[in-house]
Amino acid sequence: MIKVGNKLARVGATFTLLVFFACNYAVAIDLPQPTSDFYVNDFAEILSSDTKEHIRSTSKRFKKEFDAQVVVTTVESLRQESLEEYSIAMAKKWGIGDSKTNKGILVLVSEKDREIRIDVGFGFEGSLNDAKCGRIIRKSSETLGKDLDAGAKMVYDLLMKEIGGSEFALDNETGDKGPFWDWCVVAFLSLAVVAYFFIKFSDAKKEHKMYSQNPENKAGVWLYFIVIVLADFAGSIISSSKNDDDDSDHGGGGDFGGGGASGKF
Amino acid sequence: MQEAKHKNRALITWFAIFFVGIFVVVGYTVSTRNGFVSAKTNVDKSLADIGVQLQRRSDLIPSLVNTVKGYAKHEESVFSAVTAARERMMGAKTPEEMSAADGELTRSLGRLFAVAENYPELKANESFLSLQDEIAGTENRIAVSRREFNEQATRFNTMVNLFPKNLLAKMFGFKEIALFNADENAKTVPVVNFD
Repeated sequence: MIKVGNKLARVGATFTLLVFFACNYAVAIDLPQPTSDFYVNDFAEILSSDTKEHIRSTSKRFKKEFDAQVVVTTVESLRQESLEEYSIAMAKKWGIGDSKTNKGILVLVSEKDREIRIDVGFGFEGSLNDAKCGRIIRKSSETLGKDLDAGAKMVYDLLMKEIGGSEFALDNETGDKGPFWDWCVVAFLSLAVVAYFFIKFSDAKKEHKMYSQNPENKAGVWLYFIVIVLADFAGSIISSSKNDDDDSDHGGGGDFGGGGASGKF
Repeated sequence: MQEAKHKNRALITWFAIFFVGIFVVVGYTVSTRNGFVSAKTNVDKSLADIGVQLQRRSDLIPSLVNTVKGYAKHEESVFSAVTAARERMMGAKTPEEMSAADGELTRSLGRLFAVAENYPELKANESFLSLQDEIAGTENRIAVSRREFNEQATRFNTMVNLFPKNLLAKMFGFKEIALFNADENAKTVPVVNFD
């Protein structure tokens, strides 16, 4: 009797497991993996390279400053899936945002379905409510209808303005310290070169020759060379720190509750 | 003398095996029970989350009805349907009652939004648009939290049903939990129809 009972239990358990997995497969949506950029995934190939770079660099900076991830994805079609189900499945699967703060946002555009959705992670629930998302989509809806690239950029910029506040400058706005430093380095180098030649020629004048033969000058020459090399070195450090790339960006396991807004265009 | 020693050793060995055995069984039972408890806690938490979102929707509805009434005074049937469904929802006690009330509420909200499409001034009103966004967002949150509940409940049920833990489950009184089935006629988000 006991042996029969065990067998039934085992069969029952196996059946339950199979049904469990079958249900999961039936519900599973076929989702793409994020690209190596992570922040912009243009599967529908509707975004210009300018827009993509803009999103990539702005989101990277946003991540550094606010530890939040804003991802933009475009797909050709939702393949009969509902926009809301597809979007949140993608956001959860990619783990947009950090697992502790859940500060993640996904903007999903479907080209053929002409639908857009902003999905908001738990961490943004208080600050970026559904009404704000809806407003952003409504403002951009006409532009999206005419020009997907411009429309997507518009949604992204409105979103970043909303969550970044007035302090956070979008990448194509001034606020970048880079060029200033570059000019400093160039000015310094130019001055050094000019000073060097000036001293050389003034000494030469004293000696009534084209070039100075004065041995004491050699120390000065070396000094100038050292200064120029150092300045160059400093310049290269400054410019390389601007292009500092994190190793491949990826999701931090952020979770989503279903907040946000959808829209058609 | 030798025999006594042998007997002692044998006895000690048996005692050792016995105690280790008890230790293992107790350890297994305790960890299994803890597993049940934590799985059940996750289920309870996700159930509470659903309740929070349902309450949120319930709270938004009076403002919505008032805003629409301001522009569409004569659509009484639609307003009373929504209000009645909301009351039914608040009074629902059993899961079946809740499921039925929920479906009715989603449907009546859908009809309300459909009617609102006929009033361009209403559609341009910021309060109305914000409320529409919030309710749509809440409906989505309800759907998401229900899916989460089903996931947690399935995990719990699998644990409770698999051998050999099912025996312990019976002993501790952990029973299978019913999954949430969406009312077939209700849509997840109020979809605006032009019929």
